[in-house]
Amino acid sequence: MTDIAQKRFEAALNRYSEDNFFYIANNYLGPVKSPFHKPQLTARLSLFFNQQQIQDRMVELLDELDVTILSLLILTGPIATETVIDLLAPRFGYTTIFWRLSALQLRLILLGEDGRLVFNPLIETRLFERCSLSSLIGACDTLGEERPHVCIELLRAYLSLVLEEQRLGFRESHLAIFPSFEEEHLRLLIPLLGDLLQRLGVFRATKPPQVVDDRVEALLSLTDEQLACILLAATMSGPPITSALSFSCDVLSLLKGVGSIEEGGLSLLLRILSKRHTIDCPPTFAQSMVTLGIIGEGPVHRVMHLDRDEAGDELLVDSDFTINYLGTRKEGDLLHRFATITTFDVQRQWRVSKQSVVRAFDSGLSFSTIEAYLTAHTRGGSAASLIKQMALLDERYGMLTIHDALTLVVDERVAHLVEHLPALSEHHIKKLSPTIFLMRRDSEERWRKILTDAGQLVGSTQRQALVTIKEEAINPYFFDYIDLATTERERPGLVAQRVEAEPVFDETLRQAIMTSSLLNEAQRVDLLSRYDERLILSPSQIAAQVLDAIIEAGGFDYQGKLALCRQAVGKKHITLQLRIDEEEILVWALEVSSSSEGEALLKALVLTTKAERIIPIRKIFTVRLLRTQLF
Amino acid sequence: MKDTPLIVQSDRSLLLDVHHRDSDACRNDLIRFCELVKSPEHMHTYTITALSLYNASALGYSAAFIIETLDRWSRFPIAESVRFFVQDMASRWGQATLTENEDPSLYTLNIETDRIRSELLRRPAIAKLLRVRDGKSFVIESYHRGELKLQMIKAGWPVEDRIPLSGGKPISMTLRSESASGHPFSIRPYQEAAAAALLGDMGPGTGHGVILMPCGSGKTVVGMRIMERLATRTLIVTTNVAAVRQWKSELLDKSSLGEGEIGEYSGDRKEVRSVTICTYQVLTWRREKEGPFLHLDLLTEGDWGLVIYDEVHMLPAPIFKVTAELQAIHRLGLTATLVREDGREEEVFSLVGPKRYDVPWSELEEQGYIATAYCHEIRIDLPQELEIPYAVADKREKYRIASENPRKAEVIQALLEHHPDDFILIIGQYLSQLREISTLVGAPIITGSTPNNRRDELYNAFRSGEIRILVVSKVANFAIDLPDASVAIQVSGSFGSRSEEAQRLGRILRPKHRSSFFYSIVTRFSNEEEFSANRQKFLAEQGYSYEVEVWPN
Repeated sequence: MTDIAQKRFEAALNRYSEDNFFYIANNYLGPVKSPFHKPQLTARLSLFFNQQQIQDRMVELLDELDVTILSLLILTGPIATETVIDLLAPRFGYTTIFWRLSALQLRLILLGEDGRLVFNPLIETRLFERCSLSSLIGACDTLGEERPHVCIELLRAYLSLVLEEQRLGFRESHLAIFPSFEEEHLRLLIPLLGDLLQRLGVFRATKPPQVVDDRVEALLSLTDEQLACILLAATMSGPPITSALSFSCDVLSLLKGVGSIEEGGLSLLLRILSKRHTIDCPPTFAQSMVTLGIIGEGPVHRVMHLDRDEAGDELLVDSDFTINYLGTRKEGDLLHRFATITTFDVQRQWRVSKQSVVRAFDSGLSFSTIEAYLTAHTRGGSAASLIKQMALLDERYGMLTIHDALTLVVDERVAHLVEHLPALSEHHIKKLSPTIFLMRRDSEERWRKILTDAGQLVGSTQRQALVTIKEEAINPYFFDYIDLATTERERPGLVAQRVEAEPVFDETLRQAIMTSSLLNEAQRVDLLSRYDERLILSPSQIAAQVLDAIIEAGGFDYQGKLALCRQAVGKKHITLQLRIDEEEILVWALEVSSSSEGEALLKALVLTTKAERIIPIRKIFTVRLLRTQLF
Repeated sequence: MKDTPLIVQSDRSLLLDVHHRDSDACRNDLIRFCELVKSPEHMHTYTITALSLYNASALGYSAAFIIETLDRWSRFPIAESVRFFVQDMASRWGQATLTENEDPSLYTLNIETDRIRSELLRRPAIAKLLRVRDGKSFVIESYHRGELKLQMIKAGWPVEDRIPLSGGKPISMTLRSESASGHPFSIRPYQEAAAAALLGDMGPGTGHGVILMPCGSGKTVVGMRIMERLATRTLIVTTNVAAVRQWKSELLDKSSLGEGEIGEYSGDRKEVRSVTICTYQVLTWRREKEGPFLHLDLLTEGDWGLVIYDEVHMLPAPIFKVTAELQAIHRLGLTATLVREDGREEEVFSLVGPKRYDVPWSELEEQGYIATAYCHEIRIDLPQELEIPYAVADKREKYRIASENPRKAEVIQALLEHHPDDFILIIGQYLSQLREISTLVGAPIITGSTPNNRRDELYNAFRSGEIRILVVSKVANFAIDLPDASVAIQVSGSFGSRSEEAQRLGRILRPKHRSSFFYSIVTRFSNEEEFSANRQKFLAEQGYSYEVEVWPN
């Protein structure tokens, strides 16, 4: 046990209200006569809870709901009680979670730190060991069918189609190309993929769409999981990239451990992780996961295995110029740049056509690069004939080139300068003659300045028409996504599954309470009640005292009810349970006042609705005063 | 991943790695329930279709057997959708059966379930053919047999036709073990297998279909073997008179049939005998454009027990309808290239019968049953004086200018010099071009206008070695057997026809003691290059790859 943990524990004890502190002290240490020795009591409590057998008992007594709450806290980190209630109340009910959180704090499993719940530092590690994702979201044994999902190879295939078809959306012909995808799935997936890639700036929003090559290369160098993270993050327009990406990565990282997840569990997980990353998860997020194939359709979503493809084998080029391979191509692969997917299935099949090769040349991919690629990656020289055809096409392609450029005409002296000035080299496109150069249009300003700085008198450009270059703005944060997705980061330390353990009650303690001759009946009942609430951990706690006397007033006892309400005002460690007609509500008493007619009124905060309500005392049938401990 | 040769895709295509040690065994299993789609050099593609499964069911292969076979050979687990398809389609076989009726002009269609019954009645194209007999059966007119089967296949309910095919009038015919010309003669194993695939156990559901075999592999012999087994009056329909005579000479050479038993039904002669050979052209001949087909009755009124459609991919549209009515007799379609630019391949299957046998060209080449052929595309520039006319011409004219590029003559001459001992065919599309070549190389020419007798004379002279070079137009595309031809020079073709290219290659595929060379001369940087690429597709899918050479200027 570290000193730090010890100090944190003692500091936390001191944050309990006086009432609750003495309740805890009385419960665990036996009757405490004087309230004026708090440091001494704290030290004794610390000693008590440092005992191995006491810690064992605390852990053994954890039940399913306890572990659910603890598992949630692992994901969210320190968190306000209200947030835990918000997250879990829809599944377990407000009252159940409310009381359980209170009980966990009286059992010193959870403590308060800076207004947020934290694990008891003395047993933190042991509590971690009991937690799991399945405890939180519910175990689900049903496994749906494994479905095809978004992956690097799918992206490669899709990019080749965009290049071929010059559009982003779905076409009927895609059904034959992606036969392993269900029709409805593909109809949603292709447009979503196009939309997300456009948002990421992989395509310029031009007609036809232009592919931004360095972004494509960056995406294709990722793993399937990293790609899925980025795409999911791109579905969120609101939050900062870091949060969106961390959120998406955490979702995938956690789901990886489970075979399937129910709709409610998924919704809870997304809400929990939203809190962890302080973002608003869009309501369409789960559907985007389904569309991208990361999980199957609900109500029980099968979680697909990302990154299961083996590394691609060699390319096999057949006599009809079909290119076949299995698995995933390596980083930096060029296939999609000069070939088009024809079948995306177990075996990938691509086709090389005149159009696809010309497109590759247009994009700046040279024949020699393609040749080197094919030579290096094809099986047994099967590409020889294809390479020959490409060589002929390359020769033809080189016969005519259209440049969008400016012509720079100079005299011989300046020609020497233009040719040899290093700063100008990146602005040359071609030297047409000893004194005529083709210069880049888009960098005109820069090379004009270089020439001017070099001492030339640079006149205006002799234009027939004004040509302006309109650059479409694209997502400037694209490479931030890539950097974040590829950076090792801390993942939520919550294992997927553990063997569930039932709480183990020590029957000898119960027997001891039942048979103790020191106790009167009220004391025995009180002790048994605390035993049931898992507050009795050691025989040393069996002492003659009553701690949980039920304080209740009802019926015609108007003064009694009024007194209890007044007693609870402003005390968050006291909750009132009110029965009004058929309704039963939990409230915190804020104020007791009188109306102009002299009628006593309770102003209370209704815990379930967070609404303030003014209730005439005479309308309350029963008032019950309950101890609560909520930080 | 298992070390097996097959990959089963979700779209039910099966990819066979032909270099795997077990590929032959796997192929032998696949052909029972799959169709061969293409067989390029490394990876052959088969597909499982509803039709292939119906045929497999008809031959007694169960869905369990098919799935077990796929599981055994597949490298990866098979998609559920494939399993479902196999089970679903295979289970449909036998749900509708066609049987004889007490009234010989009618047949009875028996239906197993109410669901099928109501589905059939909801489809107008089927309902109009049916008369309700009772809750489980209908009657149809016997002449609607083909149409009903066609429509039922389209509806996804294949009809198990349990009516035996009519035997036709019997004839006596056997194949010789030594040909009349004195050469030993026997049926090759794949020819026997093809005949057996068509005839099966000779029971219902057999005796009709299409056999695909490479050019030069002896399709005629398969036809003769089937004729021998059926021994019935036979009508053979083929592409031209030269082919008619070739069939006749083959029958006389290799079977017991005599001159008086074989009739020629052509423009020249109208003989109807026990075995009659005619052309598609004569069957579809009519006096005026909208007039009746005067000789089409030959198909239906000859008391034939067997009709052989040679080069069945050429089946003209008018014969489709008549063939639909010819469901009661045995039907055999023979072809090397069932690719039609009009996309009506499926109708051929529906009317003549399913594909019963298909063998990769490369397999027969490996076994030495067809010659090893090397394909070359030689690209040559247009002469400068034609560049401007080419540039301003429309697409069709461009193709013609490119096809008739006069510089092709220099390539031809060089090739002739390169093959001084070969028998060479120079094949082209445009007559003026062919005539010029004929004059240039001093070789005779055969075109559509060459009289049949003159054609026979020239073919025989080529076969006998009297002439070594023959210039031919598209009339020699099909069914001409010139066993010693080993070089074909294609100077022009009909746009992008894939089957024409394959058939032309087929002219030099007869096995011989030397390799064959196919040269296609194409004008460089013209649209002829594109058409040429399309023409080569079928052969590329059969594993032939073209060596491209650029002719120096």
